[in-house]
Amino acid sequence: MEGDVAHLSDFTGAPQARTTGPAGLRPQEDTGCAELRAAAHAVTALYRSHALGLTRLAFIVLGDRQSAEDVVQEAFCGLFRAWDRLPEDTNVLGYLRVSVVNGCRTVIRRRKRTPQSLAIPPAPSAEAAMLVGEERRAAVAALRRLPPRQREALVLRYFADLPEQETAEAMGISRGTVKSTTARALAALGRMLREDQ
Amino acid sequence: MTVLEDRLRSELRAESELISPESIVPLRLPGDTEHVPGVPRRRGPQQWPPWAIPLAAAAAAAAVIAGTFAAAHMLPGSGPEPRPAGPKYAALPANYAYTVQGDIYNYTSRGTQYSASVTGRYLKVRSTATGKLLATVFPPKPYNNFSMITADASGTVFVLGAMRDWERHAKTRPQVYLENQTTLMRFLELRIGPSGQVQQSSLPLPVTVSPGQEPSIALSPEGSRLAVAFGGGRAPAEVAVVSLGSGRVRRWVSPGVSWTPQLNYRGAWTADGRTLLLQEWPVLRSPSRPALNRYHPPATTSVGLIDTLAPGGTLAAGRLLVLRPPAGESAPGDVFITPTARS
Repeated sequence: MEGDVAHLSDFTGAPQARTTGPAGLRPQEDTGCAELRAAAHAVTALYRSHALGLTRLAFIVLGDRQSAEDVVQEAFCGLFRAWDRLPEDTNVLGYLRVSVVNGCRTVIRRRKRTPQSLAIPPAPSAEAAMLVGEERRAAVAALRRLPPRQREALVLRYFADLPEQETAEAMGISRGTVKSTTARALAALGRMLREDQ
Repeated sequence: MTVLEDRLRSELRAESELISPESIVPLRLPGDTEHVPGVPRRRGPQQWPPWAIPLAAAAAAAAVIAGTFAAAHMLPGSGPEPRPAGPKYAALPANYAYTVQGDIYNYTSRGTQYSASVTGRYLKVRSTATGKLLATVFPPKPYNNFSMITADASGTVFVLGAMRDWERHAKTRPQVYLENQTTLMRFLELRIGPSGQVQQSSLPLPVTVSPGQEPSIALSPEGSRLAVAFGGGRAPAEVAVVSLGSGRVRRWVSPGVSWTPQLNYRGAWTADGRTLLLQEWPVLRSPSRPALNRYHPPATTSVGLIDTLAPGGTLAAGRLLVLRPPAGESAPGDVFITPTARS
């Protein structure tokens, strides 16, 4: 799913089914119940198709299932609120991906502000340890020790399989910066794995 | 593609599969209070807001009667009751709060890996209608756990009890366990405005309690009074009702009883904020092994009803109900009171 492109018009059907309230009006303030339902229906359909992939993406970046679910829920709620304002040719999946990446950054920033005694990095669950061997988790564990931006770049490139251009759009940086960030992240990852051995 | 890239890709795939398709929680859009059709609804703290925790008294009212305890069998003269005419508990609370669990300490000693979970380390408050996260609340230092939480019927006032909980060291270092049990708890108050703004403040109480006293709390439906129950065993059993505005406190004390008064935060008050229900929990504090071997839990559950407006200062002055389970069933564990106080 991660490499797909989904446009708003794919989910709204005929143009007249689109919510047509004035720009800046949130769906819940719109008086047209049918339009609100159409928006809810479209966002729910998107959620069914893409929640799994986006939750997995957030989970890998954050290492914490609860936060990942929260980030994805917030992303879809944000899409619903912004539905009226988005142009017809919006790549909604790209929009969601940006929301999820931004949501992950917020969570990471909040963790940094957490008092030291509480800021315990989420440990892999027993289930995780059983399903994925210690050896196999080494690269993921090392990835989570990378700076957030390098981590994002690797997850988007190697988990979401996004090309450089889409990775750049999701991260809000230039394509050249994606290239250099990815290269630096891979070098750091390799170094950490060698040191851990 | 380098070896490292290959390895990273395969590990990321394996890691991501810890999130299974069936574990995805339903989407809750702003204003959506109903189940999303076609998406399986799952129970559990990770998938669904734990409605038991958020003091949603409305749920309490339903759950109670339905019958975990078959109260209808046990209360003399009770039977099917007409639906209440619209007490405050009939409406869903505006917000709910839940403790976030799952931080796990993993540590290795002499080649063996140990882990210990600490529950309720911090707390999140969300809007019931939209699911929007309103606040994440951490216990003040040196506390690290919220062990008590209660709210008013509207879900706009919350009281949280924070404690020290260094479980990791408690088994090996008795001193740590003792400190956990005897460090006085601290209370916080959260007030949530109509647009979701959260005001957090420390709530000094005229009664002091520590985790070792097995305290429990329950906020009255209108959010103005906090009931705190604690003690029992070798210490006096006590219930204090504190007016949050004035700090005035009224106490009911019974010395020398073998039980702890326990308030159920989900259904301790009647809707009129007058009658308080507390359960008498038998306690064995620091029992010796022979005492444990001789101990048999009671076959009945004793419940005290306190009229908080009536005179009297002892727990024994309240009305006492003894709930007997139907034949073949064990004694009721948790007890709630309906908003109308009829069952």
